[in-house]
Amino acid sequence: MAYLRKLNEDTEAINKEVTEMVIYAQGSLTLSDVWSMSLPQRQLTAKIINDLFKAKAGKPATEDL
Amino acid sequence: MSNTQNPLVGHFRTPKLYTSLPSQGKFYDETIIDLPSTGELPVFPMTAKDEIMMKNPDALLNGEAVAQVIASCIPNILAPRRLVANDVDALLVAIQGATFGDELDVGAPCPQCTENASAIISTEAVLSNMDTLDDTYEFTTDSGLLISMVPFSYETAVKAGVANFRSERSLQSIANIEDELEKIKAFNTNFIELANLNFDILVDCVNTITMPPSEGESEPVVVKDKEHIQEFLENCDSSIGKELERFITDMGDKGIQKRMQLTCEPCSEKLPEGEEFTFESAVNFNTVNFFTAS
Repeated sequence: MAYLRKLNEDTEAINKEVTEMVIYAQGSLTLSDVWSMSLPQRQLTAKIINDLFKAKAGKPATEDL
Repeated sequence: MSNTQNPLVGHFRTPKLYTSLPSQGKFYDETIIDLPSTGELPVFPMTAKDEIMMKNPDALLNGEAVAQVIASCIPNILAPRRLVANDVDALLVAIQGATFGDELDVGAPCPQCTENASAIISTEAVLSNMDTLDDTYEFTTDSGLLISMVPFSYETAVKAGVANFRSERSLQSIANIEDELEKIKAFNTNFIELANLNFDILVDCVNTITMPPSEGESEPVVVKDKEHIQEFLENCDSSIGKELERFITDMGDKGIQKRMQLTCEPCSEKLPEGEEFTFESAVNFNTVNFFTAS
């Protein structure tokens, strides 16, 4: 049962990751694009989206002007 | 942005590693595998869709998950269900390595405390140290028949896994039957099902039976018909069945090394400082086996 529960949790985690990536990519990626990506590609894409949002947000208040 | 699926999607990934097979492609024709001249198959990482497939309990149990993932990650494999089981084990390790990196977590229960002892192994090392299957597996019976065998297919391995799973389930339900006669009846049904499965594996593994030329004939007679082979095995001496089983075990041991040294942390803590409790055990690389062997 524990193994079945783990499989279910893993499935939900992947579903969430894929959906978040499509939403955060704001139209530049489709669901089928992300479903066809490998784990390293998804990790790289998530990092780049994150970097993009950080760049758009400007410098954090703790940094010098 | 287009809403239709890009027809080039299948070409997005690039191979992460190349691997040879324990069978080296010996038992296949061009309808099963498109083997490159190097003898090494390109292995692509799993997509998110493949990963989800490997998390589906029903698809794992009926073998569909592994068949689909092999077809997706190793496009040179044309008929995954017809691969020999030894090759499927090696390919699953290669796919794991291509997707999640070289380090792979494996584990087995400690014989002393039954806690799961885990270890990290290198997929590259596992793949480079695998044994290859011999060119032929054959023996001659006392009556002069030459029996030639092949390793059993993944399809048969799945059937065995499902039967094993069903048997475990029915044994659990047999324990709840109160009537002794009904209990014996259910147990017999279960036993017959497992015996039939073992017999199917024997039939699957016998490739040909060659009879020496009889008087007046110059050519030996080669029997390939599975129905004829089945009938022969139903009526042959039990020593032939035992010899076949020995060959099947021998063939099954080829491929990736499944026996490894593991260290049990809880048991090691009870030993004097500097000493570790290590044990050798077979580890499970195959997700499907994990399910069906449980």
